[in-house]
Amino acid sequence: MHKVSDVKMGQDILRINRRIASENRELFDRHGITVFNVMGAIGSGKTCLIEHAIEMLKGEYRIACIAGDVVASYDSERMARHGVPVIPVSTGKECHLDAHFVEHALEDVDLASFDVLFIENVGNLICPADFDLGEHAKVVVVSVSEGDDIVLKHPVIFKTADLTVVNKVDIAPYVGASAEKMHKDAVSCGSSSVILTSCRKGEGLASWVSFLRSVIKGT
Amino acid sequence: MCHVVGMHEVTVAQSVVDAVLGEASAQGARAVTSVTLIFGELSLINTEQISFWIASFFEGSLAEGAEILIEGAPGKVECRDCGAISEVSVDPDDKLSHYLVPDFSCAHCGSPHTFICQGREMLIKSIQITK
Repeated sequence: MHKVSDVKMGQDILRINRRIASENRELFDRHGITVFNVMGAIGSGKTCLIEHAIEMLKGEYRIACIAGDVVASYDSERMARHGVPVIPVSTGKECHLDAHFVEHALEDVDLASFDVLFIENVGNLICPADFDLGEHAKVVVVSVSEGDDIVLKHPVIFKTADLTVVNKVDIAPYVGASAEKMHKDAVSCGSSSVILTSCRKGEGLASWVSFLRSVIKGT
Repeated sequence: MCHVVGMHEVTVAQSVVDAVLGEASAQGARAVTSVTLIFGELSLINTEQISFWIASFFEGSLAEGAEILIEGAPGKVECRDCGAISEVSVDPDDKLSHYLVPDFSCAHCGSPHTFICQGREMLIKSIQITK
């Protein structure tokens, strides 16, 4: 009979991600870079919000972006049109970025050349929530066209968000959704801050930029 | 970190497999007979999928056929206003409970200003090996 033994491990499965994320954060802090992890479903308006942020902030700060997507070239071209460096990270079939992707994305850039980094994190409300990237603030973007019960279906990501952006509020009447319900649900899930925006109409973009400024000044 | 294409259960499964096989060979094991994992009830992991992927990756290794046991850990929130720690209620019999509607407010004072202090962890608790 072979000897059977129990081996206690108590090992954190995500420890490698946690370690790399904290190394990323130390690197950002050392270079005075403020990092936003922008999460949200496909088509929620993440890229558009980042484009507006670039336009409104590029006079004050030097901005760079990581465009993480299954095929990153489309979004990275949109962001690059605003005259900022963009690092495309194509994840293939992976549904989220992790700290390791971010670490490698930073290998070929001069960290002294920018002050603010936007990381666009693929596109869903489940997987990105489990992976710290080393960011300073987590933003979750949700559009009214996802249905106004979407927030309550994904409470964890809203709970852990520093900002929830309820986007495309101008089309709420056409898709039968209540932006106010989504706002209330995000608050009740515990999202630290919630704003309503419409990138098309320019609504709420001042609040978006004022959130970004407050984080940049606080880091 | 090794990356395999697919959903995030696959990424997590690969991390488990790497750590278990690493530990087993460090211990001089002939075989791994069981693996016990802990997934907090607020982690966004589907336990059936993760078991399936771990078992698939174990095939052909010294852990092939190992029993995969998964324990939960209840979600808990700590209140920023009154400091109380309360359990987040999730129905364990609800197959969708890994992503459906837990209440994060403080059970003591009702404040929504809480943070998750337990329930998002993912741990390899122990393995059983033969030598």
